[in-house]
Amino acid sequence: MTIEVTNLRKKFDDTQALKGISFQVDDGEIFGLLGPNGAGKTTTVKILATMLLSDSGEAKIKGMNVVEKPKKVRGLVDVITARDKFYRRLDAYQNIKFFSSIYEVEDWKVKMKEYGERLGLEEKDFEKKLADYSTGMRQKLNLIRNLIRKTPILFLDEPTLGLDPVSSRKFRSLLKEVMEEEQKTVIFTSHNMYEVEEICERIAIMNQGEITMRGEPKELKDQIYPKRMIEFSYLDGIKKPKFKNEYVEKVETKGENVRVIIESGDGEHVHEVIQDILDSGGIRNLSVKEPTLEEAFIRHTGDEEEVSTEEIDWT
Amino acid sequence: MDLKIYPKIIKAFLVRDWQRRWSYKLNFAAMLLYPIVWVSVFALMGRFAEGNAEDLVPGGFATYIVTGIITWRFIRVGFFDASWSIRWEQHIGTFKNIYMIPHHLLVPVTSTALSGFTVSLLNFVEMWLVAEFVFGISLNMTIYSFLFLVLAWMSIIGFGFIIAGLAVLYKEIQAVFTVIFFSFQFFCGVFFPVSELPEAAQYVSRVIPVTYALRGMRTSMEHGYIPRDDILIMVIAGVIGMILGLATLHLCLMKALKEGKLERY
Repeated sequence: MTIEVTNLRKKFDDTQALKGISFQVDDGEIFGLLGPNGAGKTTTVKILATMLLSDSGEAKIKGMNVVEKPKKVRGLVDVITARDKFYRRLDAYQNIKFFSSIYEVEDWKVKMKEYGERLGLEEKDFEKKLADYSTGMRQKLNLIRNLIRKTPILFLDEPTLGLDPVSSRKFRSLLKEVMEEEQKTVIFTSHNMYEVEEICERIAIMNQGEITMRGEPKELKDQIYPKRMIEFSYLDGIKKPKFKNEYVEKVETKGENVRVIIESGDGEHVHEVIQDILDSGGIRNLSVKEPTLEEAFIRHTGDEEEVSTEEIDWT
Repeated sequence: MDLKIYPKIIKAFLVRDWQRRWSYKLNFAAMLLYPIVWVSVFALMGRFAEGNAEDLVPGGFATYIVTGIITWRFIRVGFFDASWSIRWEQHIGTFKNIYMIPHHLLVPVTSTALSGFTVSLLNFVEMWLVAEFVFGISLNMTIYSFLFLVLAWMSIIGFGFIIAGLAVLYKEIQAVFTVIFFSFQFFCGVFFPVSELPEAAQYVSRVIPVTYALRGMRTSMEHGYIPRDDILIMVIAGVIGMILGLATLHLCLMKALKEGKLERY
């Protein structure tokens, strides 16, 4: 076991930030901590990275207690956040050279170019001062700073915060690719369900300082929100047909588009409903969808919003 | 523990700091020009008042005041660079990445202080040369007086660590200590002899190590030797300062680690 957290508690003034959380992360695993703001994700990461002391409980990295051997632990871990900075007046080479020196890394320049190529940063980018870097470029350089250091454990604390959706998606796919290749043990925190679902092998859902659920993304979705959705559109000019099936929980329509929610993820039920829909005729673009982790998460945390849709007339 | 790594880390900080200084061209020029302007003003003032202060400062007032400001600047830069080290990294957002090295935080703090030492050294040489060759004020600098100056710098570094630690918890502490440290100019005999101060103020001067640093430097330049008492006081002040500095730094870091104030990303 690479990371072991047992009954960790932390209180700030009147706020109990962690209420005795426990979890374990295996070697080479990408583990997600998912939760809304204030859930305790960053507090957990800071304790593991020796930047914060817990009130009680125990956290171990490769068998070493983070409180008893903080320097050794810092030699094994690194943290990437969206707020990480560099020296703005120095260029990328100067920055990485400095950090490589204090992290005791040899051949930093070769590695920097190598990772730069993979992450889409060219040599001319490295000659630019950090003041001229965009947020996305800075985050890529931040990742290069860590990859050069080659720590076996990495904490990614909301690393895509502040990135635009396109940069965020690119950064995530790079992250996943590199983390898997480098066989790093990763704790990835986010309140963004999509990225956690995309990157993590196992997830713990945190809320108000507690881990309320844990498991693989699919398991969690099935556990929290075991539904399937069938989406289709009516062909133009076709009068909306009527169909009825005992497994259908809800039908939502928006113009020509229809979403049918089936109360259980059971394959036979789904098949039966599809057949009924097909029999009713005049449809196109039919697809079956699982609920996203976001839908499951919103349902789990009880913040479900009403979807304003026109209900189909059954009678 | 592999001690060979420390010179490499210190060198990295020195290179970084000089690259950073050089990147602000106007500031860099000001860093070089400021001591020259300062020493010129005080050299002229000293020469102007030369005849009036002969009883008080037998070596000549110009030499007296120039020695005072050179020593003062040397100590001041060392003190401020040590005290500002952690807070500065926190302020610009690079602290986490500095903290994540597998060494005690004292390593980057000391490295930054040593970087400040190189600035002290450069400014010292500039001021000395201008005083000697532009204004003809002979400072009779020997290797012993220089070593004593380094000792004085070392004796104050521990007090810089105190501020470095407190600044982690109390963001505005620097302002308070800036005022206190600059009041030392009044108490410690930078511009005029301590004997000219009101009697009550003289008691204060006696407990500030900077007073003895200035006294030792002046004796060294005037008579070519350093009084053993002043060396001893510098060493004792250095040891006390270092113990207090390390203890304060440790306690403040532990408090910051408990309260989550070490890194507020």
